[in-house]
Amino acid sequence: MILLYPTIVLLICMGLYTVLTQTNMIKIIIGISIVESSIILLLGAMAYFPGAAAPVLDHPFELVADPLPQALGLTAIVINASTTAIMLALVIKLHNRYDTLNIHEIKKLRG
Amino acid sequence: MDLLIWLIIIPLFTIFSIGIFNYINKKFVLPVVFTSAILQSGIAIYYIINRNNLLPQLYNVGNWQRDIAINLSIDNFTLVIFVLIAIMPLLSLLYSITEIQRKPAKFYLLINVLLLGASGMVMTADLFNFYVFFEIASISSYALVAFRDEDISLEAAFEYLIIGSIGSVFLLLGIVLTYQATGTLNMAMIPGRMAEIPVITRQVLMSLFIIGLGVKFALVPLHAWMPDAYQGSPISYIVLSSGLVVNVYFFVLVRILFIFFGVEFFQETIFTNLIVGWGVLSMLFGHGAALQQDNLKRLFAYSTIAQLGYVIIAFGLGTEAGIVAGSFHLISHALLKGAIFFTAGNLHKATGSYQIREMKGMAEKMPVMSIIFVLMLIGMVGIPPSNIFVSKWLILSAAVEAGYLLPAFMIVFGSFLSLGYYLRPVITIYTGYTGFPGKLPLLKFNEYFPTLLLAGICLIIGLFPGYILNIIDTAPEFLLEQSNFIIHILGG
Amino acid sequence: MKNISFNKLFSFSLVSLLGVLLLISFYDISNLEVTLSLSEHYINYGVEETGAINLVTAILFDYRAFDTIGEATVIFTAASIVALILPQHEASMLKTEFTPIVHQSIAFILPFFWVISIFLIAYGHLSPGGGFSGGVIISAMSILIIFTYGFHYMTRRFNVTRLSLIEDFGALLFLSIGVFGLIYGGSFLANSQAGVYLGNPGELLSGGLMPLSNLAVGAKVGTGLSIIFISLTRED
Repeated sequence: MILLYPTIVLLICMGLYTVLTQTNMIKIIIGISIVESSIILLLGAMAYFPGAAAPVLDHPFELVADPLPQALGLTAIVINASTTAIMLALVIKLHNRYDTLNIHEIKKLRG
Repeated sequence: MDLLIWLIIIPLFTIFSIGIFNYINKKFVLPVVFTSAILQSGIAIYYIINRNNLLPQLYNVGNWQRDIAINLSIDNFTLVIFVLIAIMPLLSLLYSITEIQRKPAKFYLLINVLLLGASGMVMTADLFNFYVFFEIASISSYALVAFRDEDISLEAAFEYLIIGSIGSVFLLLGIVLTYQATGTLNMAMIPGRMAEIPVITRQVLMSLFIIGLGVKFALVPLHAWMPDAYQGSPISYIVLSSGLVVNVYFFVLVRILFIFFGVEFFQETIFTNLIVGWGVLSMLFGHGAALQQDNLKRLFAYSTIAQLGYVIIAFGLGTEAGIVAGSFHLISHALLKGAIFFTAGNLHKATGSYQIREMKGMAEKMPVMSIIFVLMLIGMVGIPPSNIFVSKWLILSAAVEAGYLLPAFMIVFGSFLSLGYYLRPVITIYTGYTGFPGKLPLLKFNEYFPTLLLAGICLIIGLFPGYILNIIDTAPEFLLEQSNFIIHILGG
Repeated sequence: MKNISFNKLFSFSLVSLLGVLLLISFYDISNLEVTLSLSEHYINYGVEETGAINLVTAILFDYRAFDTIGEATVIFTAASIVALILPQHEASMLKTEFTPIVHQSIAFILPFFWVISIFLIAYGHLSPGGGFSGGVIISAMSILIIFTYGFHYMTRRFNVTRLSLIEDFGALLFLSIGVFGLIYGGSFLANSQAGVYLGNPGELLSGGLMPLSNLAVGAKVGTGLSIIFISLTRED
């Protein structure tokens, strides 16, 4: 548990660094996905208490995991998946037009 | 009457059913879209007219108690955006009839998604629900930027998508951390618990919100997408974006900052100076960058960035006069900029290009449109009968009253700077006559009517600013006094 | 070259600054005494108030159904955007040739996929699952079919137009459930608060309109994700 939050921060930083330094469009998308996933990991981590049961109450429990972050995480996953799909569609389209995945070359073509 | 939920249901129905109508018969699409747009405008106007006996109003979605439900709320500050919701979407849709020839059903679907996102963001009083509507609006903006399917629009869309996704990641992180720190998502319950958080963490949360939303209204270091996106996208989207959606993002940021952190938090720390300084910087940067543009759309994109700088200054003052002045400038800039973009689109019909140098001798081909264009550009600088004059005057007096003399001076200086780049297209239009006008393009009703209507509204507001001031003068109550907002949402 | 390394150094320092600030705030926040008032309400009264024993579904389809309809709109919009950006002749996928073993085993597996997706949707309020997970499995089926039997086999049966119509009707069903709540419960998307018969928690027909909402969302998500996948692929 003690390493969980540093790991999440590390993942966020890695993803952002990827976005800032890479020139390949697919790698940029991977970077964004890493950041988004790490936030969902954070949501999952928030819901967890040591010894807590899953929030499906078919019989009484002492301690139940927080169901709200899980529901929020589900919503966030769906939204992130939709954004990623649009990004990939744009990449396919740009690749068809320019025959390259490098953003600098695309900018260069436009002048 | 709880009409506000229909601002969500009507666009949702339009979005979901437009595909079916398009499948049955393409002729059904336009009537459905316009009915829904007229109904939405009607609801906004209903709330503006009956503001004294209806507001503030609260709606518990799902009929749950106030503290666990997702609440939708309308208060007097919301009316600032409702003025725009009442006017902009309908005119933008009207203009799009001739502009959008390719896949109109998809365009109307996306515009309705954008409107749904805008209304939802303005009304919701739940933090995560706000994120959902934020993404709804963002996702349709990305597609609308790419809508023209030209190389430049696709690139701009990809750029916007990357920058926007980073922004929404920061916003989501801010929301998740706020939930973790306060244990609630209800915007009215957060401020009380926010006070217990250590100052550094509160500042980190605030920066996350500022970055996440600042990306969307092109706060200066994060503005790069805006000129590119505007250059490649249809005029109807640009009008809706700079006339409504950008203002909505700004509005929500203001609400989050004032309600969550409180105006005292800013005045205790150096944040007031920082925000006002930031506003001055983005204003000067916007004006400076606009001076170097050759493309009309890019020029006006930078001018939008600069004008939002004025609004940032006004809200950053944190006084009642500042908030009224900022709201007034938000509205009058949105209306006038919409009119200017419509006119630029109309002039584009004659030249086929947005490059300023291609506009030589436009005054011959389109005399009336050219005169309107010139008048509006001069109005944008802030020459008296225009509404921008009133709003700049209000901001100026608010800044002087609050003791910010240097920013006040910068506002005047910035306006002179803007005269420089607005005069360039004016001079180009009125010089270089070719002598022979050639075939004159004929404007259709739906192209000149929105332009004239918006220009007329701007003139009326400039001459009688009381109409708008009456609507927004109670807005600061729900911003400066957190307790008013909290009592409104949670009850006494 | 010097320029590039400067960019990297700058990005690294920016990202590290952010990381340090985030670590500080994570540390501060984990030391706070937070009362999770919302979650406590859900855990203590959730089953009794909504009739669903899966609290996540209770939140998604009753307490915060408004978020869910927004989220459904996001998928709906994304599907139509991908179909708009990439018309069928734009994208391409390499043609794959599999042995009969793969064909036969996929044909054998597919009915089980149907069963599990319908189970997940129908039992969404009773066990982990729900409309979203069930819908994702439906779309996984279309991905499997496209990969093994080819693109044309899939689009002969379900092309994008037909799938969009199913998606439209699924979304409209969810919206009309919301409007039903408005008419009978006095508030948009009211479910248990609208006085719908909740049933005994733990039975299949419990949770008011929740199974129906799950069905609508399942149909919508399944078709929406299938549209996204079909649009992203094409066989040459």
